[in-house]
Amino acid sequence: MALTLSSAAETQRLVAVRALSLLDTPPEERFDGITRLAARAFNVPWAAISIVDASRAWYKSRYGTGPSELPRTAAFDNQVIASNGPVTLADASRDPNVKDHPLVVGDPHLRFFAGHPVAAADGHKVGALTIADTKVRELTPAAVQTLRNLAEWVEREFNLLQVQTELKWAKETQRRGEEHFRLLIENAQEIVLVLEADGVMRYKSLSIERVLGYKIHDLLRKSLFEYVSAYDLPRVLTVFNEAIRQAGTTQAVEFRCRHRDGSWRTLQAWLKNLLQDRVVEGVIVNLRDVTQLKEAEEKAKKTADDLARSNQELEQFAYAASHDLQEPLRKIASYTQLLQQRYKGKFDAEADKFIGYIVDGAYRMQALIRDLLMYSRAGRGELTLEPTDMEAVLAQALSNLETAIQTNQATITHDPLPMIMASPSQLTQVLQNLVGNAIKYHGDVPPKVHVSVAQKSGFWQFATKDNGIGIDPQYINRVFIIFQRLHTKKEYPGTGIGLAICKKMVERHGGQIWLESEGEGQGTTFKFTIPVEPMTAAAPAPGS
Amino acid sequence: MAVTTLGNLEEITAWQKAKQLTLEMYTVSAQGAFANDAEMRDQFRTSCVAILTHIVEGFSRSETGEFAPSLAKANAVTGEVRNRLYTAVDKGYLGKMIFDRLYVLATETTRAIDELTAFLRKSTAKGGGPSA
Repeated sequence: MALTLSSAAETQRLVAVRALSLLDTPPEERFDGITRLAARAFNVPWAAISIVDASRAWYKSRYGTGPSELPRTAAFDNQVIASNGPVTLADASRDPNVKDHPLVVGDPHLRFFAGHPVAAADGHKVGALTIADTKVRELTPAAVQTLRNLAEWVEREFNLLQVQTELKWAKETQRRGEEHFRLLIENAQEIVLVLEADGVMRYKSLSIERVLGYKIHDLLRKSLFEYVSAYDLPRVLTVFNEAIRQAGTTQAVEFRCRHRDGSWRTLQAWLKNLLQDRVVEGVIVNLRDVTQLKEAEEKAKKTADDLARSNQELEQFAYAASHDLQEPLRKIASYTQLLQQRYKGKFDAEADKFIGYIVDGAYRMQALIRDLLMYSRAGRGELTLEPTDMEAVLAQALSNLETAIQTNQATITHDPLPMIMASPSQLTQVLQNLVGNAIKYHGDVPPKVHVSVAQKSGFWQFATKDNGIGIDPQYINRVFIIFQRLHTKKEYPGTGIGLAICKKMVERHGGQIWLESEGEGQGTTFKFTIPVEPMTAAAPAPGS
Repeated sequence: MAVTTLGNLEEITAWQKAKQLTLEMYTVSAQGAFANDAEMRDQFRTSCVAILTHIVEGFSRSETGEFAPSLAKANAVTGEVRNRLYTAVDKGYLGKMIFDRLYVLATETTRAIDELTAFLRKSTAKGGGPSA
């Protein structure tokens, strides 16, 4: 008879043994009852239920005295589990496999053995039911049948035990799962409520204390609606009704809720009707405190509104002022000019000088007003984008600057320029101002200006590079501010508006403008970008 | 223009009564046979919310002296609710005690709304709002 199983089968058998979770557990009446019955039925002094482990036969139940376990090689049980049916051994003293059995060698000197394998639910023979007697004997077929029936009883007990163990594990797992979710909810930032069909809060998570200041026991049998602001209550009730009407759907509502200290908190709520759910039987409400978010939103909106309004007023003022100032100024300029022409030399030299100052001042003021008007116009009205040939735009700008170019003997060069989507009149102004500046702020040598272009991802980047006086890097951000001038009008004439106009026009196209300079005396490069795809937001700026 | 200063909405008796009526109606309609008649329950609840809605809407327009029309609507709905209470009793949804309780509450709501209406009429007739 084969006493060892193939290792793979034996490994699986051992897995089944471990799954029983019976090894080294205390005796149990359910098994002791079977061994007692077996001993009585066969009239034997010894009966046992064993589990055959890797290297031992361990006795879950024993009738008669003996060790609680035996080395597997010495145990009769090892022979039994190798068989598919009952095994009998008439005289153990002659059997080489069990002759070292302590109960054979020593007291009570067992001679006769009979056993039947016991299988686990998956069919693996995990142990044996054995009986033994001190005299040599045989079993009748009826007795063998009884032995089989008793072994089957043990099997049923094993199965039952396994089912019970699994159930216990399942319950433990569930308990842990519930604990897990309870902790999740209690530590969440959001409040979780379960409402009855009338709005009474049956369950509230601990976070309610943190958000609204109430202790759980303050809210016993209280309706959520008692805490809702009067102005929001009709809406909240309506949404609640909606949730009740449509089981399973989720409704959202925002409302103000009274904090325990009397202040109000803005809460965002999601309601889900699980009244039909046998576990929840209520309306689940998730509440999130959005008070700070709301306040910040309102503040930001107010600031933006204020800013837009103030910008609008400013531009309207600038427009109206410059427009209305033009007329009287024109009168002053033309009449002082007349005065200069007709009465030159009729007063004294001092008077001629004064009149000269007036004419000069009037001219400068006209330039200032003209630029100011252009600046405020740059932000007004619809910006119409059309296919624009930048070569033509530059040509127009240079033609406008013709006098300055000739006077200063300036050389203007440029890359081949593209077609872009833009407002040609505004870009003419931009290039005219930039090239004009480049010429104006020249050093000791005749000005050289180069206009270049590079296509970047999503936008064109134009640049005007000169060999002029450059700019101290600390002033780089100031030059685009309206009326900011870095030089006196004696050094370089101008209104201080030109670059502010450029910035406004470029930004209306969705682009950016900046300048780069190595420092004073190193020349200046102005760069600006225009998106390749026109912005949809080419809408009029506030104030138009 | 007469500016009627009414203070806080939550301190107005008409609001307090209407709110109490509504919350109690919610409790009653969530129980027993009432809870199983979804249509009836919805009608009751929707009507109660309508009373509250009219009062809130009117209150938010009170500065322009347009509270009264909303109060008239609120009163009409309160009357409906009171009549419906009889139907609920006929169907066996309400016991005598609960009916009495709700009926008294509805009547008190009506009276409070009437008083508020009268107060508003008086203050506008005088051409100036009462000082808060």
